[in-house]
Amino acid sequence: MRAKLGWVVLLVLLAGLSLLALAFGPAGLTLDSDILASRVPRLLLTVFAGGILALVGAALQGLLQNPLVDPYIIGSSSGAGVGVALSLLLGWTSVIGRPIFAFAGAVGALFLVYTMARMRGKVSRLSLILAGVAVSFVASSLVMVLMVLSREQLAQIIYFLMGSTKVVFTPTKLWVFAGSAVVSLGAAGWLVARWRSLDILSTNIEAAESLGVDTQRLTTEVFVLSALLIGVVVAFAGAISFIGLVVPHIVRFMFGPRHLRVLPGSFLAGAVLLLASDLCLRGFSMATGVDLPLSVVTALFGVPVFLYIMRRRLA
Amino acid sequence: MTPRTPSGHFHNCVGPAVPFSKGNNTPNTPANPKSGFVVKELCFSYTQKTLFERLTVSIGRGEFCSVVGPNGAGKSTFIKLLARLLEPHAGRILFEEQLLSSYPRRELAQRIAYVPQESYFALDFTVLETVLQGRHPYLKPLERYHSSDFALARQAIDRLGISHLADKGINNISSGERQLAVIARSLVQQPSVIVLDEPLNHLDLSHQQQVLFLLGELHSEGMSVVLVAHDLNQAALVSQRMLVFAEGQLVEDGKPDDLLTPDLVQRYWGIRPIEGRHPESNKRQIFLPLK
Repeated sequence: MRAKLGWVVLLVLLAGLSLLALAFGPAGLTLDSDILASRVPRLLLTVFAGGILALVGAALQGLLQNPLVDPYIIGSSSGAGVGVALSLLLGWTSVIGRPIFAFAGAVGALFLVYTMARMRGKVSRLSLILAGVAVSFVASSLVMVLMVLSREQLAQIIYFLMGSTKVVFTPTKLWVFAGSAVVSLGAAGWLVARWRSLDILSTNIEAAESLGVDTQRLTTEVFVLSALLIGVVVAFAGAISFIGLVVPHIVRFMFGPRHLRVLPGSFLAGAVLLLASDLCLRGFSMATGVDLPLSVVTALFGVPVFLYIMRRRLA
Repeated sequence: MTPRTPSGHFHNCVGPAVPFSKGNNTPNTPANPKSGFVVKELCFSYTQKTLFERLTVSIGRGEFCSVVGPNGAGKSTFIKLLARLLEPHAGRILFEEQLLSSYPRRELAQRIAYVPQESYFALDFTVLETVLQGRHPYLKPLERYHSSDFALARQAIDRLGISHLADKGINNISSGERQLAVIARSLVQQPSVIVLDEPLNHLDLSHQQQVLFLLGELHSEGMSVVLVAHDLNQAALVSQRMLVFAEGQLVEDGKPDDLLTPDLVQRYWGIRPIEGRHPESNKRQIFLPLK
């Protein structure tokens, strides 16, 4: 009953906020077709980014058995940050140049983390976390170096690193985004199909294997797909924080621990939270003329909700 | 809907006793070593410790075998190798006349269930949800649990006497009750072999008795049972055959009543117990001296 109510609430919120996101913006409350042409891609990117970040967060928390795991712990967003900083330094800043650099950076980081974590042909969950943290630190240092080297673009890099869905879409970029989104949703579906294996992985690894879960294969699948999905999100929307960490906890509170509900539920709730954050940003921008990055609002939104749930669960 | 089972090794182990549908094993008949485990020239070692060097042993289908030995003797490693949770470094293990390593993981999970010494759960599933996970080897990735899966899970929960806990969180019950849930989950796998690593550790006396009775019932229904136990008396009471491991080697193999002597205990455990007999079964038992 509680779960059904949860689905209804999430779907109603998503529909309501989507309508608001289409009608509301700096150009005022309007459904003018020219305005819609810019608001529809922004809406789609926001729903996609929020949904994927939260879904990947839930999958990684399930895989790594660590409630504090954030999608960025596996290093691909830091890798994407290096790619973007490099593109700015080299002056390759065309509308699709930057996403391509970002994605290449994410894939490079994925390769590094996986190679470092692999020992004697096996990848353990702990070694993935440690390698991810190590690569993230190295990538962050590289970004700092690139930021110092390209002082003029400092603000752009910082803005990118904190995420935004206020993106200029040319027709080419829109097609690239649409293609990436379709492939990504397929990969997300693949993750959802692993729901029972992720459930079982919450017990001893040996018990999971004796129940027929190929833990090595599952670890590789979830890690690689997660890193690629995060790479796509960061390439288009930058590194938006907190969604991937906080939303799975909210969803588990609503639906219980089963990944069959947690993964799609996280997609919906992530999309809702990021849409609400983006609408707040638009309001703030209209009132003050200042554009804030998304991570500022997601943290302000997410942390109180997270603390409330944590206190209720501990109580 | 009737429960789906793999062909050739049907066990309705969660419900009332059902005789084996295939093969010529009847309860408590001499086991057929060819159709159980055949371990040949097995070698295994950890980084700093060699455990098995050219170990050769067979465990027949339908046997109830206890595995005993002092700490660090290799008991747990041995049954993990049988359950393919570890891979041998040399030698081979055959199961049902096929290389154990040739079985796909899911198919093996339909045949061999493993109960670990201790279980932890990072997520707080209910007991019913935990037990249902035993149906994983029979379900396709996107397939949801069927009503028959729920029925099997509830039967297993009933059989373990934890029906009143079905909707409780697995982390909100005692460690003993959690162990019962894990055993129920292994029954839902409908295996032909169950290997258990000191399953009685966290159980109180009544639950210990309940699990020992259950293992006896499963055995009488035709299931092979391999039980790692620290309590030699319990092992001797329930099993047909005892394997004694010491320092990574199989040192004794025989009927418990023949093996459980003060001499054997002194040789491998370093203490000399007092010998006695169980008042009901008249099986050999040992008692620790107080002086």
